[in-house]
Amino acid sequence: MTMDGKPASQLATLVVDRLIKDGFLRSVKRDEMIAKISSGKMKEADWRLEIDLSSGEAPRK
Amino acid sequence: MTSSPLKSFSLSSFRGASKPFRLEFEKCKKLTLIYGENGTGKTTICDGFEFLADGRIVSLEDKGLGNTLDKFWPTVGIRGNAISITLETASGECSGTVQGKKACVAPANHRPRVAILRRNRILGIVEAQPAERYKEIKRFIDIDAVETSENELKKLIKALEDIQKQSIIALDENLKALESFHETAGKPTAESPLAWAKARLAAPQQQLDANIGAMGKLRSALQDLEGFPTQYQEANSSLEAAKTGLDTATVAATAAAAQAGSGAGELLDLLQAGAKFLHNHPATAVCPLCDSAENIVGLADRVRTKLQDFAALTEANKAVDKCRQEHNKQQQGLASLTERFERQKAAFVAAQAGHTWPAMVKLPTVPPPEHIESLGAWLAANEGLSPAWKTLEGEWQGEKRCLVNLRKAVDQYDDNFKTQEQLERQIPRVQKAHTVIVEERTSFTDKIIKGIADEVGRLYERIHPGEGLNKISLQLDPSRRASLDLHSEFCNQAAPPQAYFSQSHLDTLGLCVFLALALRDRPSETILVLDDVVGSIDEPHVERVIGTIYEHCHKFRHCIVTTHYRPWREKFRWGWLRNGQCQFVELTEWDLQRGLRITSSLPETERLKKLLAEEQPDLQAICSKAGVILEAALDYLTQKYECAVPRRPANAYTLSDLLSATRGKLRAALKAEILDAREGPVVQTVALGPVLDEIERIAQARNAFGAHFKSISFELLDADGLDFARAVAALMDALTHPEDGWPSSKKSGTHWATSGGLRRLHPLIRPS
Repeated sequence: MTMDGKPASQLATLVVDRLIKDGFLRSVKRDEMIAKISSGKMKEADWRLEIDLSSGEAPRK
Repeated sequence: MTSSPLKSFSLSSFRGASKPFRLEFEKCKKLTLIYGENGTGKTTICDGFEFLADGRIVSLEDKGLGNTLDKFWPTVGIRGNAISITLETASGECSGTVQGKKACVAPANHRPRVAILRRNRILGIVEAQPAERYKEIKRFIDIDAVETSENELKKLIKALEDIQKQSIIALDENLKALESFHETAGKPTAESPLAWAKARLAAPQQQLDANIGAMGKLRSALQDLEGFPTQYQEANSSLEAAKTGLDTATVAATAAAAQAGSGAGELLDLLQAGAKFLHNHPATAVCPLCDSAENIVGLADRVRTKLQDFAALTEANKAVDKCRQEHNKQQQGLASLTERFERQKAAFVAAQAGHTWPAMVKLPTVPPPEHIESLGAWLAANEGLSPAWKTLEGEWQGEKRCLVNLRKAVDQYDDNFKTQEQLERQIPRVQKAHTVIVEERTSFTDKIIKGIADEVGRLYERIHPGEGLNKISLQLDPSRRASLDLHSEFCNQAAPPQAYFSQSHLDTLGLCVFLALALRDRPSETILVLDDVVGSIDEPHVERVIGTIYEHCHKFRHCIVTTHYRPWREKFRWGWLRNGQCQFVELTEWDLQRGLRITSSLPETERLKKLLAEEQPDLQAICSKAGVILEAALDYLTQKYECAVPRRPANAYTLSDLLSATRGKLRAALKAEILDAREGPVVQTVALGPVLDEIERIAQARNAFGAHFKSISFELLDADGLDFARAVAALMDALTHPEDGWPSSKKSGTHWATSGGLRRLHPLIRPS
């Protein structure tokens, strides 16, 4: 996925790539994460799930 | 949004365009300079572009004209629906009209994107409040949605930290509960309460459950047996009573039968059977016993009367039957009780034998007796067992509840401990992820804002050398959202430019900020319109502002610059500007009858050639024009080669002064090379020495024909004047390029060259 011209998309791409590089997100979810973050739809529960899963930790209720 | 080149722009009945006006854009020239004195209609053209782009005319706003500005869109005295604006481009047309009170532009996909800066708005962003200034750059850093996602992550950190606090408290409570269990158990080991509890729970629990289950069965079986002695006694008593009653009734019935006579019993049975028959067959015609019809009438009544005579016997018989039934019932009850006793006894034996009892459990030494009569004695012998078993079972149940609660406490502890362990790993990760986002966001916005500030600085430096680079900065105020501060360096001190900059510096800063923002925002799709902004820049810096516009205009879809700055027009006419890049349009005086009008803006050399081409040439005009052009050429040459000329007030050099200054080695060395293409071969070399010699020979024609009334002109031929003018034109053709102007670059190191490289002038420096 390439960055579209909107600043939010550009920043979301930078953020997601950095989070993947630092091991906080899974690379397979890159495009989905960029779309969610750039549209402001990334919720608290989504963050927790993704950060947990990226560490191989089973999410706890 | 299209970025195709502009072809023409037409206005009709719009603002100053009282008559149809059409501006043709020259091919391959991205800069259109519209020159005109005040009131010639420059702003009308800018308004037209703004109308097409935004459906409004900002120049009418903030002028106290009220809210219904649409009534001022058309030319005075004309209705709005007559307005017609058309932008023709290489990819199609876009037209603007007014329908009702609304601007209507179609087709929408050809609607131009316009960035327009007007003179009265040049300081807008510089002098704006930080919040307003932020709005101007918000489109470049509009990351609200990302910040919304970021805030969700921040909420997650807060939520996890809250859970961590709760789990620490809960863990402490769990430990206290375990300590309490440990103490209650009398601290049986020296281990920690948790270790003790875990060891305790790890021990097998099945024996306790089995004991409780078996004890329940045993106690139940014993309880069942405990009821039998009483029941047996009651059943026996009842049977005895029934037997006595039966004996008594039998004696009474025998006595009644004796009293009723011999055979009374059999007769009674017979009468009762006859009565029953006659009751069931009331219409019988004969006696059922003798088959005689003689006494059949009234037989039933007579039988009933006879039976009444045997009433005592009848009652006595009934009593015997009833007592017999009761006796039988009691006999059966006793048998049933005995049977149940056998079963319960077997159940008790099975309950006792079916479990391996702990030693603490006392059990009957002998099984329950064979006969129920002996049960009472057996129960009496084991009287203390049932309460002891009950106590024991209660203790076991208590122990079980204690283990359940202990299990619950340990599970809760383990759960909270795991939660805390996970949070200890999770929270730093989430915090780090948040830090990453904050870093990326800050870096992203800083980079954009710094990029804008750097661009402003570069542009400003171009206009005010030494004052712009790294000295203009834009900063987001970290303590307030959506607030942008503008800083500059003034006399090595940080200061807001509005506080110390001169008006002219502020004007150029405003222009630079506008240009920097426009350059970042899809310039290739944007028509940049600068409406008379150059006029507010002070004289020494206009040249550089113009240069800056030239340098950047190719990045935009098109640039339209309007000005009433006269030197710009003159520089165009004298070829001092790179005309190949710029289309020069001059508007002449406006009036309502004729509207906006374009006048001829030919360069001076072209004007001279046009005069020479006339069928009846005006010698005075030709020589005058040629003289002025020659002065310009000699002024250029003497400056380029630093020639010595007599010093006079106001640099009032004569033609003779200038021509003399070029004599000698310089004139001999002067030559112009003409090329058809940059870096291409030289197609013609013109030695300028002979041309200048010829001009000098007949230069008096300028004064004789073109400057003064002199009788010497009577002696000269018209051809002398025309030859003078043609020589000047030839000199200019060799020296200048119609689009690129004068050779002013010495980058080659060997010669002067025009910007397009199509004219070269040798030598580079004056020969010594």
